[in-house]
Amino acid sequence: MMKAEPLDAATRIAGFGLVADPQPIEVADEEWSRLAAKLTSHRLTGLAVAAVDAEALLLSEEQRADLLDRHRGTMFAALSIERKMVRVTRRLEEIGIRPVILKGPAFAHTIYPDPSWRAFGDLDLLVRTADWKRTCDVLAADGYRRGLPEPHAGFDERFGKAAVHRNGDGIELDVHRTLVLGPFGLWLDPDELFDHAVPFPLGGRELLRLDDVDRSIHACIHASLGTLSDQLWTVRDVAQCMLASGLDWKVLAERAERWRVVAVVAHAMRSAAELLRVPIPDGASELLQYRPPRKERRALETFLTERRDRGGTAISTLRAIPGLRAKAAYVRALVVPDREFLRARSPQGSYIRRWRRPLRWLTSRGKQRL
Amino acid sequence: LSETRYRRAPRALHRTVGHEVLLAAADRDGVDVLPGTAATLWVLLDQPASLGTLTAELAAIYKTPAHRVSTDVAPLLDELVRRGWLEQLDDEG
Repeated sequence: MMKAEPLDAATRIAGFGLVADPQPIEVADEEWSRLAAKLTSHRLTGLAVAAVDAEALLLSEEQRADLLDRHRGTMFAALSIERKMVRVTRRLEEIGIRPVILKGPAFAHTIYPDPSWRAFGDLDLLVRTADWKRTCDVLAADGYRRGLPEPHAGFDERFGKAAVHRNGDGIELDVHRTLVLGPFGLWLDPDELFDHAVPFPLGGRELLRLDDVDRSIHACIHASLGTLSDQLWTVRDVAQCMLASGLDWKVLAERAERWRVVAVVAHAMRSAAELLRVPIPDGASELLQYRPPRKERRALETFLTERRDRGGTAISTLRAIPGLRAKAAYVRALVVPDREFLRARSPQGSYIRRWRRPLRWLTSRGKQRL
Repeated sequence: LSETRYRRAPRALHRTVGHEVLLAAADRDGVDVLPGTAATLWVLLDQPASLGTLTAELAAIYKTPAHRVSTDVAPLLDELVRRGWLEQLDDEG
């Protein structure tokens, strides 16, 4: 039997259980450590253990023991995050804020056959924009510190996506106000996500998650636009949502078009289908045939190309912000942010240092045109 | 006649890893690890079940006479109830 290369093996494991894989995966001893590291970093140990149980992944006793050790570690982390989730949501509900659980625990418990198939490394909560400041305030009162302050008062609620909060327990709490940074985050209406949200029970509480359609759109946004889009688990999430029975494709197409994320959703679905070799459901055909407007396609390109690291996201966000006054406020906050923000970005933070980078982008653009 | 049945406590956060079950809850730190038979018992409690049912199923799985299994299962259930991982349901039969 041919032994699989680590990347190929990891990709096949990422697709475990979606379609029948005719050949069991076998790994050479000398390749195991590379594959094991990849399974851990791509959060695929649970899928790998399930594949071993189904004899779709053939491991030696030593390899199996190593995999289980790694998986045990990721599941300890998952339980710690879920414990934190129950505590934080209870705390927020005491002051009348009911957050929506995004990704990790919500995906693990509602879309995967077994929650151990989906590992996660932090806690993501979505709160209404109107509750943003109160949420940050109560977390600060409870000992949390923001990873980065907002560039200017009110920036988060107008243009921001999320803020990382830490309290020293090693688990990052990401408080979101919308699903993605930039134009796509501005085009969708985050409050509508709360109107669609549905309950799910966990840890003795009734929590909220995105409904099936919004969950699928979010998985696509995360896989296509997220900073972790090269991670196999993000692609698996898309495939897992896409192949779920009962997904209302008509509603999904309607919301995706209204929120201007058709190009994003289509890109994520095609990528997942190609990488994991899964079929795209017939229901998605109408959505995939739709040609999104140029503005939408250009915004997606910004995320997928090197323009992303050269100020592309900020520029496409600026284009998407309605009204001159709001555009001016956005530019002002980024060009002349508060001193506290500068210091948090760099201990030697200065305006000159902050302006140097965009000036370099502009210079290099000029050179490229010449 | 009433027969006590047991169910997983809704507050229990849990994962199965190989032949172990990991348990956590919001109101306490740390993780409890159930090995071997205790883990199998937890898996069987996917649905509420009585001592008799659990004993019979464990006896079948481990190919051991039921009377030998029951002497171990009863204290195990008591311990899991005491630690808050299981709850007792008193059904009217």
